[in-house]
Amino acid sequence: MVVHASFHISNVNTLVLKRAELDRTTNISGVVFGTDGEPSGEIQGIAARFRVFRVLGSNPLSGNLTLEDVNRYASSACVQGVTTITDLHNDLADQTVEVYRAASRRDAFSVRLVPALASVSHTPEQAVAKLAVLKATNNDKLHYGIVKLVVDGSIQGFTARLRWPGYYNGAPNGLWYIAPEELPVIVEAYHRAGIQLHIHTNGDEATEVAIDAVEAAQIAAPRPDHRHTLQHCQMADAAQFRRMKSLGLCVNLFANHVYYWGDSHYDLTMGPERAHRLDATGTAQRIGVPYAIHSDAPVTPLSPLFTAWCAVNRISSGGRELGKATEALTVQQALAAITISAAYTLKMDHLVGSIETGKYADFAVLEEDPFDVAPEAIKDIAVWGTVVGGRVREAPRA
Amino acid sequence: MTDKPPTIPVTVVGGFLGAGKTTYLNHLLRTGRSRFAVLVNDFGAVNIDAGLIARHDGATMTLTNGCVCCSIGGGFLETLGRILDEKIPFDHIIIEASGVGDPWRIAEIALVEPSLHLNAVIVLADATRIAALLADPHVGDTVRNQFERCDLVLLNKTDLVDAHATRAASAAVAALREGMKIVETSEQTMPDLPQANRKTTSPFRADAVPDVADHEQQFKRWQYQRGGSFDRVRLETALRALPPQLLRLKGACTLAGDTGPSLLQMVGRDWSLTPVEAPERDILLVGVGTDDLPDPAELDRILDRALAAPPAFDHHGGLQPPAISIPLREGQIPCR
Repeated sequence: MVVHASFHISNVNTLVLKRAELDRTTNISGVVFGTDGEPSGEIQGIAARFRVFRVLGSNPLSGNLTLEDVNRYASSACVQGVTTITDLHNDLADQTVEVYRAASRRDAFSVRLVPALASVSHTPEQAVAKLAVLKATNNDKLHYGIVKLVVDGSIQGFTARLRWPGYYNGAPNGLWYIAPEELPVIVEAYHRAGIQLHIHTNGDEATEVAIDAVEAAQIAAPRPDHRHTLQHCQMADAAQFRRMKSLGLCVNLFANHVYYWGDSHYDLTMGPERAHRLDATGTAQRIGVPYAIHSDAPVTPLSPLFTAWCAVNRISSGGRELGKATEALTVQQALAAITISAAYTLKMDHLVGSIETGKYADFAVLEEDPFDVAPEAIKDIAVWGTVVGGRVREAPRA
Repeated sequence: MTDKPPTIPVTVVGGFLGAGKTTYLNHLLRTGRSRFAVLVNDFGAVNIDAGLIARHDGATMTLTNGCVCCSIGGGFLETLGRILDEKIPFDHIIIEASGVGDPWRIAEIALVEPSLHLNAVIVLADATRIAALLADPHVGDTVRNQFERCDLVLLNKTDLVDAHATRAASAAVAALREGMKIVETSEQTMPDLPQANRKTTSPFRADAVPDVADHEQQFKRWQYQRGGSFDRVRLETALRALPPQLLRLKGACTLAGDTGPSLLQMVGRDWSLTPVEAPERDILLVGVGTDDLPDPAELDRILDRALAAPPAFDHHGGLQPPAISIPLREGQIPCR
């Protein structure tokens, strides 16, 4: 079984299809057929996945997190010059908490970890109580406190919620994972509890209801410097960015999408006009919304320099420039977006994100100066290693 | 051994937030006449009398009537997998879809999983606002999708609106597609689980009707009926002596010395006795076992050893009424 990086799609071989009794007569959504009328091996959706898991005897996507997993990921972060990393959606089951605690207490652990509690597995009351307990266990490399809400799906999966005119290819509108009428209730509960929210919205309709919810919470219980952050927020238009600015929202834009799915967005999902404003870093910069950029690893590979390269060059994998004139960042802006601005969206800019007396000595050690190389070459700069809390670590080589 | 194990019926309960899904599931759990496994999104809303809860271990609530309620918070597929792996198969699996989810996506599991078959997709609609929801710019499409392939609509909360509004709500749902079956309900008038016996839907594109094994044919039933009462100590011994092929045993009985009848429920080797209010004073138990369950007469003999000496008088000094034979309808387990 091969699992796509999005986790939504898998491929299985003929043997698994046969054992699962998925064949040309199967009529459920999520079993994709080839031109020969037989299942191609691509499966999506809950029913097909359940069937395959039953045949395999277990869910290969579950399984418990181990200390080795976390240490391996910390090494990957070091290879890419990452010194602080988020885990932006986690139920934070007891075992995970224990693994994170054990991992982060080791001096050799080479990354600061910021897990976000998944709201879906808790009521706000439960989550607030759980976070109070978890925050008491924070240490210099483990920072609990934020909560993640997921409002819609993904654009490339046609599950993001879009405003008019919807999907360019006419696909029906996407899915709500939180009902629009429920969102303000949840947002207000966390907002009142003083918790910082990270809200996943891919489509602009989802972004709209998230902004509405934060606006309602700010009216009900005004709170300075809340820094609630919209995650992905890929299709927001300038008017939405202006509302974010006036409400004190931050945004973390998915710059890697321009490269990985830019062509699909141009041809299928958004069409030429809206594809140019995809992940509108330039608009955020001009309007003054605090913004970061991200890879959503493992959805796309972890590499902040590559993400910065995407935001600077705005070129798709097919070679098409998307909104380069209006949305591209300068190298300086892109480097801020992967360092101090990202720290700001986590309320950690007093600890990390810049080299400054009083803050942790966390650095990425690069083989070349990003200001000396051509903007097209930023992604090719080699990472020697990292310094985390003054502890020098050379990146492990394969 | 049979060639093909029996398949478990699955019912999916959908509907937008506030439609009354949990109220309906509470009703099914409380009144469950057979062993239901109910998978819910959120335990917080499940409201079962404490007296009906036999065990509650965080993710699973076991009721005294044999039903089990599981939270799918820990992962839906894992929870459903656990239910299917239970040694004693459940009589029915009922799954609550999320308020913004499409119940058909879950129903499809019952179409591809060989150990399951789809009984029905039931969608609840809140009569006070379904018409507005169907036209809502943000969620109208989500709500309309939920009804697309349902077998039955429970138009709920009709007690909160007048007849005119109920008609309007019903018309709005009926207009979604031809042949929509709508039943008006309220919190006080929730129906039992319908046996939809879907014929229209098959997992096969060629429309072959799946070879669904008849649940009852794969199991043997045993009915034990006696006047009088059990001796508590000897009953314990007798229950232990019952063969493992007996999967469960349920029904009313009276214990010598008690003033009222009790509900006896045994699942596997676990059993419980709960006082119930019922007019019957006699013993009427129904057991279900695998198809190699020993002869009924042999089972009768085991429980007969637990009978208390027939008292000449009841505790009020009157004459014990003669044993009354209660006719059993096919497939009905005589307890409430």
